[in-house]
Amino acid sequence: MLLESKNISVLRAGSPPLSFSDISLREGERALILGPSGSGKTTLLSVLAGLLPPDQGRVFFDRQDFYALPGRARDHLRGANFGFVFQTLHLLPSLTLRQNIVLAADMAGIPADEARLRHLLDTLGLTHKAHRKPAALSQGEQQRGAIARAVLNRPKIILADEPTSALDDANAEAVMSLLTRQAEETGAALVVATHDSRILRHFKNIINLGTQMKEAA
Amino acid sequence: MNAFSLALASVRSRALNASLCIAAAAAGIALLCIVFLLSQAVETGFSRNAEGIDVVVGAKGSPLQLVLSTVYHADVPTGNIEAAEADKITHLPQVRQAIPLALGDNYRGWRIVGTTPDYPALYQASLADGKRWDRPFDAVAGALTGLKTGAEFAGAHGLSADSDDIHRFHLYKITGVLKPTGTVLDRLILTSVASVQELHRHPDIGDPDAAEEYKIGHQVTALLIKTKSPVAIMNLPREINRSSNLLAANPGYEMTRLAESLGAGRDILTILGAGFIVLSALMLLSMLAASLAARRYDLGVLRVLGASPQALFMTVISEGLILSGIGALTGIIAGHAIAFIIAFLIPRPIDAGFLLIGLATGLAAGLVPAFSAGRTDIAALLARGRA
Repeated sequence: MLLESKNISVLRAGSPPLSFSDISLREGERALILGPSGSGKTTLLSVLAGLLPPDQGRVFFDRQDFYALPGRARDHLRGANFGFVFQTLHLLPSLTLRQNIVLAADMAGIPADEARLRHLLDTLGLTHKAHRKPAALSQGEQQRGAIARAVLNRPKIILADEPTSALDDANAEAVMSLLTRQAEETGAALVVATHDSRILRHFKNIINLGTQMKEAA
Repeated sequence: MNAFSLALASVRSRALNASLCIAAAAAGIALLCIVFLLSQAVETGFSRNAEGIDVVVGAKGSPLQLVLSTVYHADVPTGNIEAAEADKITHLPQVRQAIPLALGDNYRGWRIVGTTPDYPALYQASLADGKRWDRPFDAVAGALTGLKTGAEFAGAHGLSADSDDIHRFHLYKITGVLKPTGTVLDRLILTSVASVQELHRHPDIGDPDAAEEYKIGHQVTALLIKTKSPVAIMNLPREINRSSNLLAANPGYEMTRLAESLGAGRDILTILGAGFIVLSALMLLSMLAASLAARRYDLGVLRVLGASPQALFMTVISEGLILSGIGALTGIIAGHAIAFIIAFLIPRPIDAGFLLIGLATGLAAGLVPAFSAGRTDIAALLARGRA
């Protein structure tokens, strides 16, 4: 088992606590966390990624109790094994596209695989844009750059937070196929959190937070 | 990409704000640097020029004026004293060495000083060229006068270059030029006491001040005295001032009093410099805080990518240190350049002290934003979306 969560619940000031049903994910599996905004999708992703200690419950990554690790070890584990795609993409504006992608290796404290970097830039059609700053890139190029950053380290798991909700149908489809292809290429598990029902068909394993909210309440 | 290069990239992406912060830090450091260099130069100048001179004896007047005019050649003398009286002082038991100075003439503003070879020896001066003065009207020029061996010139009466009362009939001849000493000697023309006296004993025909000048022919301006014992440094002036018409002054004491009155001005400049540095720290703080607010989400992304809170702390601290470090270096260079332009002070090796002051400023300004960056709550940032 790659990633497992047990009895996760997170307290929130002024709102009922969020409780999540257990998740278990094997290598290479895909899961969709579906729910309206405010249903706790990002919170669940944060908990799964070791960014937010839950008030109850445990998360296991590769059978290690994630939150029993010291902070630095958790940061390192996340940097080396998790790939992230944010809703806002978020490339650092002061760095070039290439520096942004290599950041994934630098921050995880592992050497960047130059051959893989070249391969990613090439397959994503970004080679000639590598030395541009994000402000000089199109939305699509930034998206592909963000995905390249997420998969550079050959992560065991890719977490994506609303990767398609701001996109039109064609682009949403393009991003999903990119994500699933990159996940398949590296054998990574893929977890997407979204309220965007257009991408449902890419997933068999669907965790619906909307219904859980009612159960919890 | 480590904390430092991330900070560098962030600084470069905000070039305008960054240069303002650098300018403020540089202004403060430059000001401190100038104050430090000038006061140090004044102090070493004071002490180097007064080296080996325990007591100055001259005509009655202000003791400070006597010291300034004879030790530093920076004021007009208090008057002249009779050679016979000076002779008596020279033979007092407390006196180890008495060097006579006969002032009164100049060449293009360079003072002509009638003295003995003991005077240049006081400053360990040696000849760069030629030989020392032997015969009457031989002269040796200081390094800054620009005079060359073999040059001939007429002295002008008085101590400033604008005098038109020129001793045309007696020409001085330069027999040697001194190496630079970094003392007042570099700005003087040395000759024998006899030359100066001789010149005035035989005034030019038709000179209206003939009688006055004839008197000068039997006078000297001052004696620079080295005493036999430290006790005599205090006792000798007291004795001379009580028992004769002469004025004896202690250069160390007079210059300490002068330095105390100059000290107030120096203190004000120092406070001003410190004020600039505090101001630059506040500017730096506000820039770092603004940069932090704009980069919250960036920092969150770095954490998600595996950076530790310490790494974020270091990024923000580095940003402060880069700005204040560049500011301090700029300030040190500018300060030395300005000190050189206004006072011809030779640049010294870059002073680590000023660099440390600059870096400490950056550290102090960066600390609060850096702690705040280290505590970035990523989960909340992600949940809110782009900050």
